Amino acid sequence: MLRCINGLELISSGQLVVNNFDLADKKTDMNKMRKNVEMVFQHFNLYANKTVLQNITLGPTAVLKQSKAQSEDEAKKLLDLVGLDNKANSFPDQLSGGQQQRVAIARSLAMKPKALLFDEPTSALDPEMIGDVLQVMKTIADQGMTMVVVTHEMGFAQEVGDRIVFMDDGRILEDRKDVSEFFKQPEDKRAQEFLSKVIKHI
Amino acid sequence: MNTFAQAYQWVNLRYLLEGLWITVEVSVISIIFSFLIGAVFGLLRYMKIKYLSMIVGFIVDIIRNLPLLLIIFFTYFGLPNILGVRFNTLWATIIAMTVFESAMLAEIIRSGILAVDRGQMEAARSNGLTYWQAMYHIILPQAIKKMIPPIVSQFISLVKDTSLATIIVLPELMYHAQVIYGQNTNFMIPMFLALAVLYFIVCYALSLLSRFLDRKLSEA
Repeated sequence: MLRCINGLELISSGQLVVNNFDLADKKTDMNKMRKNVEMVFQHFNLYANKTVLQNITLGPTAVLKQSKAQSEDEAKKLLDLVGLDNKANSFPDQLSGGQQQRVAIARSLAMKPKALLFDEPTSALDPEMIGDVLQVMKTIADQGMTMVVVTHEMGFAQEVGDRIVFMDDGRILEDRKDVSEFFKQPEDKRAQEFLSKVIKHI
Repeated sequence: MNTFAQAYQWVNLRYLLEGLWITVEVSVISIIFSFLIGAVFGLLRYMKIKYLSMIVGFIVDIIRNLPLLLIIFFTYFGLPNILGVRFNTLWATIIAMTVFESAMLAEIIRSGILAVDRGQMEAARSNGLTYWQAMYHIILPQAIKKMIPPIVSQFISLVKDTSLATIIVLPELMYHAQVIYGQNTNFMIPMFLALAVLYFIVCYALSLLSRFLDRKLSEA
């Protein structure tokens, strides 16, 4: 679903409108749409040939046409926010997974998007790192950023989410505004089955 | 020992060096042309443009699987018959080498780009960059780093393969050596030795260049 929202994959049927851009319409300018929707990937996908700072400033300078100085200034503030201000000149392969993911979040925020998409942001991390990343995500959520998060972190979803969608095999099975209600009393059979297996872990 | 001294008298050495000059000339010109054409063809095939990429891929696959010698024969003996244009041995060799090496390089360049993780392009696109911005800032710099060693090996083969042009009597290094020991068969072993040393020097210089570029790019 996330990959459809930012147009990495095309929808096969139905309608999808993101920020007033109709994605089913072939004439829609994907580049323009993507300026406002940023994505954080499961495998971070930091630019391997760029330093942490350059990873964050590339979008603002190349796409938003901001000056280098301004972009670097903002980038440093974002690195501060994600707790990595001392890693500005490191390359991605010198960082741990959790650190890379936090840089990826900073890179997305640098574009000042209207929405952030997270594609299983903690699935590829080792357990100790997950907390750092979730903490950063919570901070951003508290600042009012619209976020769509695909996750298996049920505790996090329950705590931070204000709408929950349960999907299986590309289909939406439950869509609830009341998040805690979903965890207490899932209506769909598949959701009940899923929660009964997963809830023990949290 | 006397044979060696005689074989390496100045007239002969100068004659060998003249041949080496032609070898280097053919190599350098072919390297430049084939790199440019190979880059364009490799990129076109990579980009999966309808029909165009298919046609390019078809041509590349055919040329890559033909012996270079056949292509040299074709440009030197075949083209005059078909098109009525005749190239001298120098340009016939350069054209044949360029055609063949372009196809080889096109594949190296295409696979170099393919070797860059797909997530890099996805990240760049969802970061708001256009396709070409992503190529320029992210994909190509990473691809070029991966390509340098195979490209340089290809250039080394190219230098050595110029010796095939002996057959159409291009006065390059190998041919000149043959002329010398043709006059006195005792010079054969000294000439082989000289050939080995001269080809080694040129090709080894290329490997050093590869290592230098690799280090430069790692620093950047």
